[in-house]
Amino acid sequence: MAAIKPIIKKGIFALVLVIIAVSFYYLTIWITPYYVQSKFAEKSLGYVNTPRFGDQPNAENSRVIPLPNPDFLYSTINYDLKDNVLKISGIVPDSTYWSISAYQENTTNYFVENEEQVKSKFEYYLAEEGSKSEVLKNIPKEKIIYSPTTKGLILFRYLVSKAYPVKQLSGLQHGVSVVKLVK
Amino acid sequence: MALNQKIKKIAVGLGLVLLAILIGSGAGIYSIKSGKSDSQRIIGNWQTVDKDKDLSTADLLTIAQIAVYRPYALTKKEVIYLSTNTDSDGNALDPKSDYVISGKKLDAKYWSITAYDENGFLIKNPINKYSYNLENVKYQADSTSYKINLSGTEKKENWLPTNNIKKTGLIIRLYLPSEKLRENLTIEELPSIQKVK
Repeated sequence: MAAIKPIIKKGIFALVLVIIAVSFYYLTIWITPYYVQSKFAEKSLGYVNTPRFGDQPNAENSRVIPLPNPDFLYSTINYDLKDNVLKISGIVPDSTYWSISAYQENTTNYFVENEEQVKSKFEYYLAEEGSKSEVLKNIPKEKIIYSPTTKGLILFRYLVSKAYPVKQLSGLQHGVSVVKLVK
Repeated sequence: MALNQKIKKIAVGLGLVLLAILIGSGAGIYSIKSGKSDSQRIIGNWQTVDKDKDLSTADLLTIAQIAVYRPYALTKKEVIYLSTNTDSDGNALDPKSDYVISGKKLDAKYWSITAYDENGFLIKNPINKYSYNLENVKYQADSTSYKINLSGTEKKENWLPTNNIKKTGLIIRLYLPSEKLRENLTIEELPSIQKVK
């Protein structure tokens, strides 16, 4: 019995090592998207809850986020809903692809609507999931975007096309406004 | 047990724990870099998300891979992304070689084919051309089919340049694809890539 005890001890220790290795495997995979989002958010430091309007991507101006679509104009809102509900509004182009999409803190897309679903003008209220903010009372449900995480990203895509060349789209792009409503 | 032996035993134990952490984290990074996951679907030389899965419900590994290599992608309801870094024979795309991408109009509100460098960025080139889409690709006489020249040297039409890069990758984007295309996304529907030089 005395001889078996050290073997059992070593076996348990080996099992603990395996559990640690497997746990860190999943931890690394789980944490990576959050790390990526925080790195991108760092680039927008000072621009939280404020829209940023990108130029049409090219080989010179688009070296941070991989796989930019050169046919799009992008706008972003790096958001933090800790103290605010955001009112986001603007104009939707009528004959070219447009979409508003929302990404939670691990960069996963949880909301998207395009120009086929939203006509001419849009107005959304971005709030934390479960928010009981007074400012959301009387706001129709379809206008509220509930974010699963406090921080995240709103991304607008505007397709540059024959019907909507860059100059015209840029006007719409810069027409997006964000109002911070106190919770 | 002598004190020295105890310290030695604790040090070895801590060393093994550290090793387990490094192995676990290293395996995680390797898996992300491998680009392979359970949510993947292969169609010829093109890769996409599996028919029955989506980015919002994908496994942790797929979410991590997308966050690193294709951040802020949309779900399949909105867009289907297809990627490749090989020709139709399965050989890696060589930026110094010439390829012809032959395909037909795709049944989507908007589709495009874009070339990227080894880091996933747009390729600097003399004509500032990075992609072709349903509107700006020059179609053949049948107004349906097209041939795009993927090459480092200038071509007369539909030239998709691959100048001064180490590796090339291609992405097809299908925005708001028809239900028919969504259900029958086969190799016959997708463009072929043939090496010509």
